[in-house]
Amino acid sequence: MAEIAVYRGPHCPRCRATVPDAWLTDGTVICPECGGDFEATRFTPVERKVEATRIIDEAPEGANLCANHARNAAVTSCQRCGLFICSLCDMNVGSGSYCPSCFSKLHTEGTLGDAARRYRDYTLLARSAVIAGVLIWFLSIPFGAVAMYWALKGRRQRREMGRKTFAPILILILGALQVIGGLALIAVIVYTLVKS
Amino acid sequence: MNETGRKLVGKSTSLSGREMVYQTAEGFEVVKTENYEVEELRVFFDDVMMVTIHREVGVLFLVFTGLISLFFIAFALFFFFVDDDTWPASLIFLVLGSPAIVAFLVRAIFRIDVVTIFGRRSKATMRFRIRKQRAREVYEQVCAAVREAQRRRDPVSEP
Repeated sequence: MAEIAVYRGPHCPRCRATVPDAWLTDGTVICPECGGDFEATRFTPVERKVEATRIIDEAPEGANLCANHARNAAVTSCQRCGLFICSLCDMNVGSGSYCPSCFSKLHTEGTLGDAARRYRDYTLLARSAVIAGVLIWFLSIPFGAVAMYWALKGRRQRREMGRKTFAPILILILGALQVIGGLALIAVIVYTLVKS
Repeated sequence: MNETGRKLVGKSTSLSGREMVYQTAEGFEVVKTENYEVEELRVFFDDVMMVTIHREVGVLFLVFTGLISLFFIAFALFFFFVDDDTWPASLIFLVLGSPAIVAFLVRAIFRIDVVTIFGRRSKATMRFRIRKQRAREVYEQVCAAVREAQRRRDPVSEP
């Protein structure tokens, strides 16, 4: 399944290791994972209390009732568990209707693809690097290397998403050719200069 | 504040994208531009859990600019020593490589100050390459603004 970068709360700003609540303190903090230090100021935000308003006092006769709000009429059912849900419970962010618990579970797993705002397309990045390597030909070696790195990440990303991996493989080959071409060019220049 | 009611407090640029952080009356707006995609996030004052500041080098950046610098310097040296008449070629290579050399030196000397605002559901990152004092000011401004907003919301817990 797709792996989506999901923010999971405060982490080490250096290594991104999730910080245990215990060492979220004021002052200088040393990350137990990377050993790097950073200065931190901790805050304790007040928990928000959301009170859902009742849509109707009594559901119309014959209507399905929401599984979470007995007095609300169900407007749809959860795509994952099939539970009847009212408009308050309908967690539809363009990804279909889910009940709150399924939405939370899918979001935590990072598998709610359509609900993700964005993810990095490494294949696109690799393609840009290859084009840059062609345009700035004397830098074809670093651009080719970067393109290969991103193409590999893009291939893995696409495979996890169940998409075709032809494009990243092609870019990987082009990146390799750029690196080889760059090295060959340097060799020819040096050889010519030495010979002359 | 500008006409949209938000003020730019910092930004963070990398090889792959840019992140602009604006302060508004309610919190921080983060505008992420990555390649051709733009994403807007908010970190509300009420949601801020931690603000950090640290100094880092950015190894990848140093390696990248260092390699480019070495490439051009090597060629410049080569042309300088290969013959007495080829020194203009070495100058050309030095000029071509100068952006990478300057970038490498600036990063190695000044390093980079990073201010990160961690909220419950999102975060904002600002990088300050040269203005270290500005980084400290922003860190303190952010902490003060968050502290004030959270004190207004929950006056009891404040000593």
